[in-house]
Order: sequence, then structure tokens, then C-alpha cells
Amino acid sequence: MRHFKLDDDSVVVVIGSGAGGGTLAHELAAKGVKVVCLEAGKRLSHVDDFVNDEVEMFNKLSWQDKRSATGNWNMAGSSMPSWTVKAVGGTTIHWAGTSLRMRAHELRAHSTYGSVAGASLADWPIALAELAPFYKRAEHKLGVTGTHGIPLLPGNNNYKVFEAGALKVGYRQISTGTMAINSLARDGRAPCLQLGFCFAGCKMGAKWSTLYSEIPKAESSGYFELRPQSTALRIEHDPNGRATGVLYADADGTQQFQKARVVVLAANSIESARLLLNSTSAQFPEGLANRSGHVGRHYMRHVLGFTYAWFENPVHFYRGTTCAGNIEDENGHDPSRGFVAGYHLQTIAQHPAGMARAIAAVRGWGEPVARGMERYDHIAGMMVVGEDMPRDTNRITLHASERDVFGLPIPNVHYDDHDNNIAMRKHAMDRAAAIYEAVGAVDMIWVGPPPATHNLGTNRMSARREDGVVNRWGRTHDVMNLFVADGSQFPTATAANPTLTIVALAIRQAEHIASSMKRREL
Amino acid sequence: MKVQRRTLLIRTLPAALAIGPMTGWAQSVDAQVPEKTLARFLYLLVPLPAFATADYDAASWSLLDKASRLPVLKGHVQALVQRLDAAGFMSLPLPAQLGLLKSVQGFPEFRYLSNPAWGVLNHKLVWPRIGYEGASFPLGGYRHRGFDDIDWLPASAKGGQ
Repeated sequence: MRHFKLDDDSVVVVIGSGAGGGTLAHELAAKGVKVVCLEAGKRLSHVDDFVNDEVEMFNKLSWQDKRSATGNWNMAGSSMPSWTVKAVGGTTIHWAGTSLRMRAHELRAHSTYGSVAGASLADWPIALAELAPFYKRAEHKLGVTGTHGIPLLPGNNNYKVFEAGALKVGYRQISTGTMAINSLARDGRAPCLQLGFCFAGCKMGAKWSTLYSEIPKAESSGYFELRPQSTALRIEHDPNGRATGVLYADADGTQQFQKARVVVLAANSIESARLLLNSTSAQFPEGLANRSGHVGRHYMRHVLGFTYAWFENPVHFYRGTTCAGNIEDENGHDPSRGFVAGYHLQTIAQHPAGMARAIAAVRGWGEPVARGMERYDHIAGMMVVGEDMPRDTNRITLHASERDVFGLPIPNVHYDDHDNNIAMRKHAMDRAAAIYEAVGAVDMIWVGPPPATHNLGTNRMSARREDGVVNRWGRTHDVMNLFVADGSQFPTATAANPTLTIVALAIRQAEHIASSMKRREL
Repeated sequence: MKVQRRTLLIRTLPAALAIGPMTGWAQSVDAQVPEKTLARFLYLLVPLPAFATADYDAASWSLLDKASRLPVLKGHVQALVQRLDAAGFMSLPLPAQLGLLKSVQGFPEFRYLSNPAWGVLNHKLVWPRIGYEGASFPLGGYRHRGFDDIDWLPASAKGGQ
């Protein structure tokens, strides 16, 4: 295992080991670039530490450091407005594996949708044609079904209900989806045995995760050092405005400073923005790389919501992959529906305790919960994943008084649901109801947005420095050797689940960083 | 009898709850045994006919055990039990118990505890009674155990993929 000294200023320091950080670190190390990866969470073994228990794994994996939430959304007042992972591998442990490319029109959101009141829509400074080759490489890396000749996964019971209903109401673009879950053994990972428990981490390793794919590969390169339980506290810079390294707390809580040639932020959208906001200095009084004032703004989380339906006969929706299917038909821009942008419908399953909570949230505790849970094995479920509107007032800020264990302000997540989101959610709810009614649903509930797993947009990418935080390579406009590699760089959310795009951008960014270093531009 | 019940309580309570200053429910021998109040609370939140009283007792003890390690949870459990016991919760008929719970559901301790209360459904022994099979890894997943065995749907045009 390679170890780098704290005063080694030739290393790239990557903060975070998830889809962005883990991928970027491996890609750089494979090119002979020295990388130190700081990860706040522990390193778990999917073989030894993962169990088929959603609640136990939730407690083991989740980022539970306190956060506060404000706004007109249903998470206001929650201390956990977002569900992310604090472990090596980050959210690639609990993601569903859904791997969708963004569409050309989505990357031109402002041009396509026009100006929407109360929204800060923007065009991406990258076109789909430029991203396409990196999508292809990302799909190969992840082993995405339906690409590179990899067979689709078979449909489980939950999917079959979903598909039958969708066909009956006239949808045609329905499949088990492009998934980063092995339908065949591949790349040292097992084929999916339909365990279920995808959100609890894949004990088989059939679902791609940086934990057991990118990180071990990076380690075997000899150019990579992983430092788990290392919480980044602050990014420092020199008088010339170059990042010099990262102050972090190690596993013992001792503060260390790792020097760096390049620093890359990949700590998920809330923490990445928070870290910049906490890294104030005389040069950057509003936070590092925040001369534009955009750090923390345009926070997005997708339009989310669940529909659960009960049937006369059993479904056993928990058997097999959690997100077992996808409907593409509503993922277009059709303003005649009463809103701009589009959404996906995807299957979802819920463990018993979570299902009881969902029923109680809609119908209250007591008899409604009992009635619903008596027929737990008769439930089918789906969720909407739609494009939400960016707003400059939806933002991560530092809490005025509450501090974490290191004495730093906790983040506040402010989100006001845009009318477009509400209209889209309503439309999706109606369509989901039609799908399940078409195959005989006897009862149904719609459950409002959960804590966000798709946190996006707080360090948005922009062509002009005054419009965002990072440029088309994910490099901050203000600090030339500071990059962002997570979903916080997304200018708009699009309707695609974000991981595939984060990976594609990380592959592309690694090429840019490595070549820039070679040319001594970094 | 009350003394005996209290003795039992102290003997079987998790250490952190049983030792130290006796506050709240354990202060008075007249207080209801807390695990029973808590078990009844859990039952009324999730009154599944397929579950036995012992299932709720077990969930109550599990929550108390967790509370012994989590001061915030312990505080909320104490507050809820005290509030319910003060109103004679355990001796009320069912409609009045439900009415009492509805009247306190806005209090912080109720809101807090209505979340871990769903833990009643997180005990492996009760899962078969709601048709949940639990961990699948030790059994080789569901790939060959019915993940696609649904047989009541109308024939679809595409057929499962």
C-alpha cells in the first residue's frame, strides 16, 4: 500500500470516495498521478460487513451528522433532509444502480424550456456529443446492462406489475433498464442473484460500487492512498490564490494538513458546498471559489415521490432488485402536460418498517398501518424521478449557531418547491395511479418526497465565471488548481439518475487534470 | 404485587436505566411498569392482529435497551410514559386510550417515538406473519426462489424484460 507524506505537495488530494471521487482517483492513479483520497467514513467490507437488513445498514452507512432544513418543502424542520452515505464508496453503496444518460435537450435546459419564473435554468457548457464517448466509457466501467452487449436483467414481480400496467395505459418505452448491476459475471464481480436490499449495499458485489471496484484498482496501481475516517475541514490557499492543501481530522480527531498540487472536491453536494463556505480567508471572505456568490446555490434534489398499490394477489415486491424497471415515455419536454421538463417512473420496494412509516405519514398511525401491513406482500411500488427547477434561493448555507464536533457550522438545506415541480409530481402521481389501476389495484397511497439521495447543483458549472462556480472541466473559476467532481457541478438536474453522468464527467476530468499536470499547467 | 413488579423491572432493565438516580417512572412504586405502557403505545400505533402481545413486549424492551444507550431517546421515552401514565393510560378502555394518544400526538416525544415505533416491524420473528422473508443472501437470493413467480397478471405484449 502506498503512503504519501503530509508535506508531499506533488499529490492530488481527492475529498470523497464515491462516484465522483472514487472514479476520478482511480482514473488518475491509473495514469500515474499520485492521489491521496480523504474519506470521512469507515471502510467496510461488502462481504463481511454488509447484511440483508435495511434498517441495520441504514444505521451503519448513513451520513447522520446533523443538518437543518428550511423552506416550503416537506423536509423542512428535518435534521436529515438528505440521505447520503458516510463510508468508503459513498453513495455508490446505497444507489440503486440506475444508469441513464442525460438527453441532448436536457443539457440545453434554458434554451429548451425557456425562462421559467422563479427558476435559474441554465444550459450546460457541454453538449451531449462531447459527453457521449465518456458515457460509453462509463457504461463499460460500470458494466451497464443494455450497453456493450451486456444483457438486460430479468424482470422481477414488482417489475412485471409495473410493465403490465404501463403497457395497458399505452406506454411503450418500458424495460428493466440500463443498470450497473451485473446480469452476467463481469469485471471480477458476481452476477445478480436478485437478493433485494440494493439500498443496503450489495453483499454480492453485483452492483457497481467504488468500494470494491475503483478503490481496490486504484490501490493496486501503486499511486493511490486511501485515508478513511478523515474528515476534511478546510481547504487552504497561498497568496497567489492557489490551493495548497487540505486540513482534515483523522480517525483520532487529530487535525492534519495534507499538502497538495491539486485539490478535488467530491463530498456530495451539501458537504462540498459547505466545505467551500467554511474555507473563508481574506481573499475569499464569502468562501473559497465563491467570488460569484453561487457556492451553495441552485440546490436540486429531483422531483421525487412514491406510489404504493395493493393488489388482491401477492406481489412480493421486495424480491429482487429494488429499482427493477424504468418507463421512459414521460421523459421528454411536453409543456402541454402543464409543466416543463420530464420524468422517469421506476420501480421501488420498501422494507416493513419503512412501509409502515410511509402508510402512517399518509393515513395516520393505528388501523390504517395495520390494514396496509397485513397485506405487505401484496404491495407493488414505483417512484417518480423528475427534473426539478434550480433556484438560486434553494441553497446550502452555514447555520448561524449550531456547530459540529469539530466546531464548524452545520449546513442548512433550504428548499422551496417550485410550482413546476408540484405540477410534475401531480402528473406523475396520476400516471402511476393509472398504471396500477389498469392491473387491478385495490388500494393506493402516494408518499411525498423522502430525504434526497440525488443532491445536485450547489457548485454549478458555467461558461462564464459570473454565472457559476466551476468551468466545463469542473475546475473552479477562482482557484485554478481546485476542482469539483461530484453532482454539485450540475447546472440542472435533468431527469436522469445522476451517477452515470458523475462517472462520465470524472473520467473526462481525469484526462483533463492528468494532461494539464503533464503540461505543467497545474 | 406492585413491589414485585418493580423488583422485576429493576432486575431486568438495561444497566444504564436501572442504575443511577431513579427519575421518572421508576421513582414511584405506583407508576406503571414502563415497558408495558410502551408496549401498549407500540401496539396502538401498529395494531396487527397477526402479532402477539409478546411481539410488542419484545419491541418495547428493545426500544428501552436502545434508550439506555441514547440519552435523547431515553428522554423521549420517559416523557411519553410519564405523560400517558399521568392520565391513567393503561387502565383506560381502548377508545379512551386511542383518544389519549390522539391528544398527545402533537407533543415532541410522540413525534419522536412514532419513528422508532415502526421498529415493531423490524423484528425478524414477526416478518413471516406479514409475508416478508427477510435476508435472502444466506439462501442464495431470490433468483431461483420466486423473484418472478407472479402468475395473476394479464399477458403482456413484451413479457418480462
